[in-house]
Amino acid sequence: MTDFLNTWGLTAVIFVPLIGAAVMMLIPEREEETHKLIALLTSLLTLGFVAALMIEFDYGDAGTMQFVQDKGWIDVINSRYILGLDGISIPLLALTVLIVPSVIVYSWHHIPHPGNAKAFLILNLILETGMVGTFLAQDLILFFLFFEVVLLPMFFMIAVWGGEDRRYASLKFFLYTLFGSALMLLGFLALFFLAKDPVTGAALHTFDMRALTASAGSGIVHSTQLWIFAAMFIGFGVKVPIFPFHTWLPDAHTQAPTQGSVILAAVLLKLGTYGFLRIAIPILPGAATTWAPWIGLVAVIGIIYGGLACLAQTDMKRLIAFSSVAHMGFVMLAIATMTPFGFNAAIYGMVAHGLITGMLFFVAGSVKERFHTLDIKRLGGLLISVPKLGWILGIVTMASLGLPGLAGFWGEFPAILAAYNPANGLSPSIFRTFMVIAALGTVLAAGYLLWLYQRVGMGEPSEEFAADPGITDVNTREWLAWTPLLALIVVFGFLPGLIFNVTDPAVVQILDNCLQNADGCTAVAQSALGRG
Amino acid sequence: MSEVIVFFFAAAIILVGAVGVVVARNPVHSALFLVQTLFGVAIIFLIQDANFLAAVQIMVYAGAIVILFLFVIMLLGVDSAEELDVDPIAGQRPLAVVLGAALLGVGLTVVLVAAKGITGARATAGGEHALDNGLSDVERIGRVLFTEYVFAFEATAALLTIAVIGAVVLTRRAAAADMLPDREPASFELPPLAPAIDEEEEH
Amino acid sequence: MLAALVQAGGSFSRPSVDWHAASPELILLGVGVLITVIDVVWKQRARSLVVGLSSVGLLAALVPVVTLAVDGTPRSMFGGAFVVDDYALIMKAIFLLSAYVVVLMSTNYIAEGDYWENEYYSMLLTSVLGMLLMTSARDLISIFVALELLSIPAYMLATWRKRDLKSNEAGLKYYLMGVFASAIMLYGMSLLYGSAGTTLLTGINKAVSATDKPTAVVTLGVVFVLIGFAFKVSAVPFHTWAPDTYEGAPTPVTAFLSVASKAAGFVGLMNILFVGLIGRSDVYQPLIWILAAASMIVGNTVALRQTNIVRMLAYSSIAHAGYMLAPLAVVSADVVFAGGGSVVVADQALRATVTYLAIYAAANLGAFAVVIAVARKIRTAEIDGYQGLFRYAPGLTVLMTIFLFSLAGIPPLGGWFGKFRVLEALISPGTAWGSTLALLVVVNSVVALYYYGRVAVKMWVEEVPDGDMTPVRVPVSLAAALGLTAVATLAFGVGPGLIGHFTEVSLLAGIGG
Repeated sequence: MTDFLNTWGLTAVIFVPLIGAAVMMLIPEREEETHKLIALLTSLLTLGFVAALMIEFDYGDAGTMQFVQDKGWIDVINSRYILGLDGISIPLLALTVLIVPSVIVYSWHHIPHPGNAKAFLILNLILETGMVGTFLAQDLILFFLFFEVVLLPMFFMIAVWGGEDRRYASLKFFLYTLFGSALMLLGFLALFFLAKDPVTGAALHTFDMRALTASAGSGIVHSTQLWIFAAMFIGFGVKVPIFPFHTWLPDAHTQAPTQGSVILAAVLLKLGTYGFLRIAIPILPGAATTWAPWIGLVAVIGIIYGGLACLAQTDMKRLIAFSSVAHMGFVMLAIATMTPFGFNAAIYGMVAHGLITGMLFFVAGSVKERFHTLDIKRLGGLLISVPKLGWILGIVTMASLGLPGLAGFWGEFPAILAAYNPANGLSPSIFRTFMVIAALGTVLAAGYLLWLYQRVGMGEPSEEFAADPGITDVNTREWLAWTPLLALIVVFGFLPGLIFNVTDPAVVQILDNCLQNADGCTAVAQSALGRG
Repeated sequence: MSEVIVFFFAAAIILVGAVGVVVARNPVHSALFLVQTLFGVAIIFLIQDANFLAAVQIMVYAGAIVILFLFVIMLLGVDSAEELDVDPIAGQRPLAVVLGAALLGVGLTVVLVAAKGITGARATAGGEHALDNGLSDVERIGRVLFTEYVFAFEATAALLTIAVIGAVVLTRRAAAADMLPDREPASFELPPLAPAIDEEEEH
Repeated sequence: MLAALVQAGGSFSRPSVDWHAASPELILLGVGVLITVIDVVWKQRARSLVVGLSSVGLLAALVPVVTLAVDGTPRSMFGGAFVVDDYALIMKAIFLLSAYVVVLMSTNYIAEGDYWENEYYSMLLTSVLGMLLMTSARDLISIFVALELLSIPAYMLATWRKRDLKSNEAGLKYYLMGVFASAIMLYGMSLLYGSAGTTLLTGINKAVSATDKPTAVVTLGVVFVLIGFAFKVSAVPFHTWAPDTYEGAPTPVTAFLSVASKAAGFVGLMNILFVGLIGRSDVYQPLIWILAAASMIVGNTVALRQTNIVRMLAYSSIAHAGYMLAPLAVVSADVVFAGGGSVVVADQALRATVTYLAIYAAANLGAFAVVIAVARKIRTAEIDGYQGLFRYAPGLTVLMTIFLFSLAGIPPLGGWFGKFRVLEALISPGTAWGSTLALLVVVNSVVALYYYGRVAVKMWVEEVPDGDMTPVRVPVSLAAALGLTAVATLAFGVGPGLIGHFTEVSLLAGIGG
C-alpha cells in the first residue's frame, strides 16, 4: 500500500474522479440512480485515497514534499508532470475531497432545473479533478492546466443550471478568470526565461516550482520582479477575489445552483489564495515584500467593502457572497503580513471559510428550495417553521462571524493578530492600521450576520408560507451531506492545532527558502523565522 | 546613351497605353491601348537583349490574348458598357486618387533614395556573362525551364489544366433536367437533406 | 534541321530528381489525373468512386511523407529550389490530413447538394498539390507557382454553389482580391530578384544581408511580398474578402480556405522570411508587428457583433491569423533556451506558428464540421438557430463546445498549447515589442472568449425556439470528420508533447544560420 501511494497515490487522487466521469459518459442518461451511485462511489474512493495518504503522511516532516512524482510531460517546453503533497496542500486537499461527496449526496434529490443528473454529476467530478490537481501540481504549467480545468465545468454549472441571469453571470465569471489566468501565464513564462540558479547564476529554464522556489527570484531585476508579481497578483487575485476584481463573485454566486455556489465558495476561491502562498510569494519574495502593503490595503478594503455591501443586501445568497469577499479579505491580510503566523492563519482561514460558507450556501439552497425565495424580507421564523434548519443556520452564522469555539474564530482572530507584527521590512504602523480596520470589519460581520439571522431565523413565519405543505424540516440526505461539515466546524473550533500543526512546518520551510537565497527577502524571512 | 533614349521612348508608350486602357470609354479602344502597352514592354525586353521574350510578348499577349479579349467584347456587345458615373462606394474615387498618389510617392522616393543603387549600367559582378554563360537567350530559357525550374514548370502545366477544367465547369450550362433556376432561391425545392446554408434568403 | 538544333544545344544533362522526395506530390497529381480521366470516361457513374479515390489518394500521399520523416535526412533538388526537410514534412502532413477531413466533410454536402462532384474533388486535390509544393518551395518562382496552383482551384471552389448569388459573390471577390494580391506580390518578388540576382531564397538571403545593397528597393520588395501574403492569410487590413467569401462559399470549402489555404499562406510567408530575409528582420518585423496587432484587434472586435456563425468564425480566423503572425514579429538571431537545449529565437517563432497552425487546423475544421452537421437540420448558419442545441443534439453540442473553447485557448483543450507557444516565443527575446504583443494576445484571448462563450451559452442554456426536438442525423463520413478533429483537439491539449515533438523544426539549417 505504501509503495502504491508513493508511486501512484497522488495521480490516483487526481484521476479517479475523471475515470468515474468517463464511465458515466458511457451510461445512458435515463439511468439516473446509477449515475448518482457511480458519482458518489467515485468521490468516496477519492476521499479514501486522500485518507490513506493522510495516514501515510509523515507529519514530522510536513515541510518537505511527500509522495512526489516527477515524470516527463511536455519536453519541448521543459514542463514536467510533478506532483507533491506537503503541509500546505493537505488541509485544502482534504477540504476538497470532503466537499465533493457532500455535494453529490445533496444532489441526490436536488438536481436543479433543467435536470440531467448525468451531465451535472460529470461536471462535479471534472471539477474535483481540476481542484485536486491544482493543490498537488508542482510544475507551473501543470498547475496552470488544472487551474483552468476548473473553469469550464463551473461555467456550465452556472450557465445551464443557474438562476435567471445565468447567461450574464456565467460569461462574466468566465471572462474575469480567464483574463486573470492568461496574465498569470505571462508571468510564468517570464519566470521561465528569467529565473537563475542562486548558486551558479546559470539560467534555470524550468517550470518546476521547487527549483523556482529555491531560486526565489534571484537574478531577476527587482523592477521586473514587480511586473511579474503584478501579473500573478491579478491572476490569483481575480480568483480570490481581491477587492477591485471581485465583481464577478456576487453574480456568479447568486446565479449558480446551490452545489455550484458551495464548490465555488468552499474550494474555488481557495485556488487563488493557495496560488499566493505556493507560487507568487515564495518564488518572488522580494517583489512580494514591496507589494505586501498594497495587498494588505486591498485586503482591508475588501473586508470593509464586503461588510458594508452585506448590510445593503436583500437577497440571502447575495449577502453570503459578499461576506465571502470580506472573509477572503482576512485571508489576504494574513498572507500580506508574510510571517509564518500569518500564513498559518491564512490557511486556517481558508479551511474555515470553506466549511462555513459552504454550509451557508447549502442552507440557503435548502431555504430556497422550500420557500422558493431568498428575499430576506419575506423569510422569517425559520426556527418555528423548520426548527432544525433554523438551528443549523444559527450555528453556521455564529461560526461565520467568528464566535470563539467554532472554526471561524481561528480564521479571523490570528489573521488580525498577525497584522500587529508583520515581517521585518514591512512597516508595522501601516499593518497595525490595517489591523484596526480589520477589527472594525469583524464588528460589521457580526452586524450583518446577526441582522440576517434575526430577520430570517427569528420572528414569526410569514403568512404566505403558512399553508405550504412543501416546507419540511431537514431530511436524511441533507443530514448526510451536512453532518461532516458541521462536525468539522465544531471540532476545528476546539482543536485548532489539528490544522496549525500540519501547516506550520511547511510554512516555515517555504519562508526559509527565501532566507537562504533571495537578496531582497533575507531580512524579511530572518525576522519572520525569529518570531515563528 | 541610345539605350536610355529608347528606354524613355518605350516607357512613354507603355504609360500612355496604360492610362488609355483605364480612361477609354469604349472597351475596344481599351483593348487596343492594351496592345500598345504590351508592345512597349516588348521594346523594353529588346533593349535588355531578351529577344525571345520580346517575340513571345508580342505573339502571346498582343497577338493571342488581346484578340481573345476583343472576341469577348464583341460577343458581349460593345454598347453594353458599364455606367461609370455612378460611384458604388461613396468617396471611393478620391480615395483611390490619394492612395495612387501615395504609392507613386513611395515609388519615387525609393528610386531617389536608391539612386546610387540604380545606375542603369549592366550588372558586371561576376563578369559580363555572369547570368547567361554566353548562351543565346532561347537556349538559356530552355535550359532553366528544364533544369532549375522544371518542377515549377510542370506545376504550371497542372495549373493550366485545372484552370481550364474549372472554367468549363463553372460556365457550362447543365442539362435541362439538372438545371435549377438561377437567382430564384424562393422557388428552389430543397432535397430532403441538402446542405442548408445555401438555402438562405438573398439579402 | 532538328539534328542541327540538337547539335547547337550542346550538352544537356538531365537534372537529377529524387523520386522519393517528390513522391507525395506525384501521387496526388496521379490521383488528380485519374479522377479527371474516369470522370470523362464514366461520367455520372464515376461519382460514387471519386470520393473514395480522393480519400485514398490523400492518405496514400501521406505514406511517403512518413517514410521520408523516418528517413530523416533533409533532401534538396534543383539547386535548392525544392527542399524536403522536417518542416516541409510536418506541414505536408498537416495539409494532407486537413484535406482528408475536408473530403469527409464534403462527401454528403456535395452529393446531396447536387453540385458538380467529380470536378470538385479534382479541384480540391490540385489545390492540396499546390500546398504540398509550397512547403518545399525555396525559390521565388516555385513559391509563386505553388501559390497560384493552390489559389486558382480555391477561387473556383468558392463559387461552387453556382445557383446561389452569395456563392458567386464569394468566388468573384476572392478571385479579384487574390489576383490583385498576386500581382502585388509578383512585383515585390521582381524587386527582390532584381536586387539579389537570383530567385533562390538562400541566394536572396546572402544578397539582401550584404550592406552595400540599396535598402529602399529591398524594403519595397519586402513590403509588396508581405502584402501579397497578408491577403492570403487574411490579415488586417487585407482581410476584407474573407467574411464574404467564407459566408458564400460551400461550408466545406470555407473550412478548407480558413485552415489549409491560410496555412499555405503562412508556409510561403515563413519560407520567404526565414530563408530569404532572416538577415533583414529590421525591415519586415515592424510591418508584421502591425499586421499581427491589427488582425487580432480588428478580427476579435468585429467578431463580437456577428450574428452568423460562419461570419463569426471568419472574423475569428482573422484574429487567429494575428496570433500566428505575432511570433514572426519578434524573430531575431538571439539564442534562448527551451526544453533544455539552445534554440534561436527564429526557430522558436517558427515552431510556435507551426504548432499553432496544427492545433488551429483541428479545432477550426471541427467547428465547421459541426456547422455543416447542424445546418442539415436547422438550415441556417445564424447563431440564433443554435439555441437549445443541447436539448436535441447533446453530442454535437459537446463537440462544438470543445472546438470553440479550443479556439479560445481554454485548457485542457488543444488551443492553450498553441497560445502558450506563441506567448513563449513573444516573451523569449525579452524585448518591449515582444512583451507588448504578448499582452495584446492575452487581452484579445479574453475578448475572443466572449463570442465563443456566447455561442456556447446559446447552445446550452436557451430553449429550442420552435420546439422541434428531432435529433440531427449525422452521416458517417461527417461523423468521422468530427471524431478525428475532436480526438486531435483533446490529444493536443492533454499531451502537447505529441505535437511539440513533431514541430521541433528549423528553417535556418538550410542557410547555415
